Amino acid sequence: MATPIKMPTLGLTMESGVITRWLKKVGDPVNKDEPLFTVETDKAENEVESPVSGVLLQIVVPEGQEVPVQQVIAYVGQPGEMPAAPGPSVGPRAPGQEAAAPAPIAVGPNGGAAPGTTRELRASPLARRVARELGVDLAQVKGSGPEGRIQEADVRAFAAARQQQAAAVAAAPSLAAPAAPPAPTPVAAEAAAPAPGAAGRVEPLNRIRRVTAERMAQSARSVARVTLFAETDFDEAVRFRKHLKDEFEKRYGVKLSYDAMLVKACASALREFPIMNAQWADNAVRYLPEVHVGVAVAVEAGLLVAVVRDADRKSLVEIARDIDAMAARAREGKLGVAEMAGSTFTITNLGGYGVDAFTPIVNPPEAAILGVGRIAQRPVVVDGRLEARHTCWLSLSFDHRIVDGAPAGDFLSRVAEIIAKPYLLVGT
Amino acid sequence: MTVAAARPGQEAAVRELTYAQALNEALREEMARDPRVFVMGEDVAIWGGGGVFGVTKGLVDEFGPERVRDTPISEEGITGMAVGAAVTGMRPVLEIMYVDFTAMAMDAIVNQAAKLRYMFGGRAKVPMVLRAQEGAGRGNAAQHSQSLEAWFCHIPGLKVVTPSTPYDAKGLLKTAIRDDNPVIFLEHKVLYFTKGPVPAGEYTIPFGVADVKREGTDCTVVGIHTMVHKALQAAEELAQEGISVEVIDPRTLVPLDVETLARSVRKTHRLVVTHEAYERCGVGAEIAMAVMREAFDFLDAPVERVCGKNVPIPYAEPLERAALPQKEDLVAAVKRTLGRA
Amino acid sequence: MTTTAPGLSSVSVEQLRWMHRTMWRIRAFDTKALEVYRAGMMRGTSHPYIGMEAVGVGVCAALREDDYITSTHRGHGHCIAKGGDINRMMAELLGKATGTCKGKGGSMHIAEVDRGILGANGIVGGGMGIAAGAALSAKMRGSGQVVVCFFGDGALNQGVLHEVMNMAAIWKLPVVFVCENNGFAMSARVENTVANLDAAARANAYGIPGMEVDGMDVLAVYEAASHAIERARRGEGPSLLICRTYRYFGHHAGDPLNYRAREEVEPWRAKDPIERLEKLLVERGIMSQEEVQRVQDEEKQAVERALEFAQQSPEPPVETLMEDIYA
Repeated sequence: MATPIKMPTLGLTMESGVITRWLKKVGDPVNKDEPLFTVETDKAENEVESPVSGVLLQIVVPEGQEVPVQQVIAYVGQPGEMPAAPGPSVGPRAPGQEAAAPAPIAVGPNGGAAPGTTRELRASPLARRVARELGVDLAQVKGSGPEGRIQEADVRAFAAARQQQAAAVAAAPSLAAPAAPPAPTPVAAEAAAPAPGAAGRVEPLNRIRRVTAERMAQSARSVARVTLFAETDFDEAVRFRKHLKDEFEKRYGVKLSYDAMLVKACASALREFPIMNAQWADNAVRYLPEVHVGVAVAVEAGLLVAVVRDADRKSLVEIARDIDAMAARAREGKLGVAEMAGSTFTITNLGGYGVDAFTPIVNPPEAAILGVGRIAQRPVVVDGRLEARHTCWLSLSFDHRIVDGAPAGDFLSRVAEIIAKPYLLVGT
Repeated sequence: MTVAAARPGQEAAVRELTYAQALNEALREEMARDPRVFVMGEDVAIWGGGGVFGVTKGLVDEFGPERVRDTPISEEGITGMAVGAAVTGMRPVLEIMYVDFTAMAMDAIVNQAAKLRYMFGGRAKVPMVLRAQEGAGRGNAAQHSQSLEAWFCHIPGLKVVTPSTPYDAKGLLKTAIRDDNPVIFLEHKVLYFTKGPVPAGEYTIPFGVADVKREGTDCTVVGIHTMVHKALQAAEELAQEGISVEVIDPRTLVPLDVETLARSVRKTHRLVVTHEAYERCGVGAEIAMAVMREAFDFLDAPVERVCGKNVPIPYAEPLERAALPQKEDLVAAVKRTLGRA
Repeated sequence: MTTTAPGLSSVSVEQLRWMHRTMWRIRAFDTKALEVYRAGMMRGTSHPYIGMEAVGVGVCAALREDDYITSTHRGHGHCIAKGGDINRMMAELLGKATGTCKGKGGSMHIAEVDRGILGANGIVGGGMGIAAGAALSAKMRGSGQVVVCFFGDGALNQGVLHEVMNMAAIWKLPVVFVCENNGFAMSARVENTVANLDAAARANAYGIPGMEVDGMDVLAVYEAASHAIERARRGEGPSLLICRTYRYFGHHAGDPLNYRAREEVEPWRAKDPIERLEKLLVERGIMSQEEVQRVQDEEKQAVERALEFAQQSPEPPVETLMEDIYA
């Protein structure tokens, strides 16, 4: 049986390491004590020797990836030896194909269909098992077997393609922080056993997190993102809200939130700047006829987007009501699929977390996303004098493939303008 | 294949023997070793020197007519007598000329031989061997061509053996004779004249140990008797197309070495079971189920069966050929498991 | 050749006492078995030998301890006559772990192979092949053992009887075929089912001796059986005895008995074998009436104790289910 090579614990405090370089290729012979790969820890770069002689049969974790200590990263053995089951197979079906590293088995959270469970999917038992192990959603895999049955090879091909994309992303400059508020502990789904030899707690991704991760990654690698920052005067907005919120509560039973006000402001502005209400459509721009503004809602399981449909045609009360109701449903895990789909523009608010400004990730295929920071009293110069006024940094990220900085800037200014004169939000 | 110990003064030579000769040697050796062992059946002593297929050839000359006993045509009677002799201290090796005739002897096999030990609370044993031969391909038609191992596998208390090579036949028959239980030892008429290496010197083959006749990685084919050989031919053919087939011969159906079969399927992810017996309720179904339980998560395709059709074996050659599973059917089945036409 | 009341000189007093006691033991046992069945303490069913005791006892009196018998579904009498342990037999009827078959066989499969009892058998004719095989085995081993194959008039029609009688004849196997003709195969009367009841004629077909015997006379049975057994032991081959007898009760416990009139049993009861022997024993001064009564009481008590033993015994644990399938 082939010998598993693990990420070594090189120091008392080492928790993980990044494989910076494989010094051998798959198929190369290696001698015991001959350097096999290099590892970067927080302290230094180290050369690591092979513990056995043989042939490098398989590289499980590629360069550039960070893995916890003791996780299996490769196999060395005699040609034709199999790695320990259920490791990726070295079969004639996929010669030379680097199988994907076995991820912790991801299982669906409360209610969501876990990958591999199916209503009408045809997939062999082996394919299902491998899909579970690799965290592949069978619904996304095309089956090449009879009657469209998904076979093991199909799952591995899918995982490998995904791995290549992820590797490409990992090699790119570091990503900015996600626009979502930090997700609290994911819902404790039935956690599978951690990868053999890994140290530290491994949490499988719940479905929301997984979708989020995939969309963020997809956005990051496709959208040409630029972010504009504008410190916006919110003094009037604060006063406006203070005057109206009790009324709203008493008369309409809704909370008047800044989110609701911003939705209306943006909706209005989107009508004036249709390019901001457009979609990237494969080397084309699709102008959308309706304005549906999504609002990012943080729930325990992760980040959801609740969509206020036809926001430009709704009153402030209606918008507030929509947001209120959807947020409540989202927190109960009852937000419907229809309520989360179809946004043409998104707003995401981190002000409550003490964040002043940030660089939100565009929600593809939308053209732009508005990040809202902390509303606070700040020193502002008005007519040469220093005043304390409420301001809020608005951060507008946009897809430069669709729209340029100037129109985006115009749009942002218009939003700022409306918010600075919040009476425009009512009766229009 | 290792030889345990050669007789003193003899080299551990390997001879080419026919399946029938290998069985003959087993009988000869066991009868010499244990005076309680005796042979009886129809035409076992005199016909053609001993037995319609020569399996008992020359035995009467060596051991005499008491121990190599021709009987009248009385399948139920002689099978019952084998039971009675076995339960009172002898070790009979009964021959039923064609497995099809075991139908006459069913009470003695199923209700007596298989059950006496259990019904008597373990206070008796029935150390008998019932040898019979199965199989089609010679134009012997419906009543002389069947493979009926499934009948016997179904009855608790019996053991069922189906050797496919001379080496296996000799080693397994010796074990059967030494076993203290009723063993249904099923030979195949077409295999009697096939040759294979058989070591000189003492060896036995234990029950419940399957034999990997050919290693492979893409598909596991499990078969008995002639289907082992057809599977090996199919494997050769498929190897030309880059498909690597593992062929396993369970050798004993009861007890069945499920672990070897399952281990293979965990490696290859595909299973084809094959036997000449009628497909419906044949042992292929039992093997498929037993292996599926142990290797479900490793199956990349449904289990395939390549078996005799559900039809009495016809007489005319093209019809008989069509009724039986052939190499081509195995090739097609393996390809189906790989999702190829 | 028919025998009637034989001379007593060929039977010892010891044997007579043994015959008397054993017939009582059988009658007490099978009577108790019927009670036990009616009381719902027994599963399956029981096939009473009551009225037929003379056959089993008369034959087994002529056997050595190492001789073999094969029996039928109506086997309690044969087993007891061959020396079977009534405690373990009763325990077997109640399905207890202390039974002859550890509770796994039941009434129809009682066996004590070490006592030469090769088993009661649930298949009509199931013991025939086994008996012939045991005889073959004895002959090959040169042990001098003889096998008695008990079977009923119903089994006269099983094909395998013809097969084994033929083979026993050609090979001169030491087996005696004892047919207990009690007039019925369940509800089928022997007159309607057997073409030729003439024992000599049937036996003649195989060139072996055959005789009819008064199965209600234990000494007649003993005499005929002795001849046949000695012939077999000398290596001269098999014989056929057809013993005419009658079962006082039904085929099995719970038999509706609608196929015969109640009165039909009367003439047979008048020839009751135990009474007949007792009369003879008392008349000849071999035993007193009190002794005779005492034997009856003792055997009834022994059966009571056997029932107690059986009742106090445990059932076989479920864990033993899969044991003893294979050696």
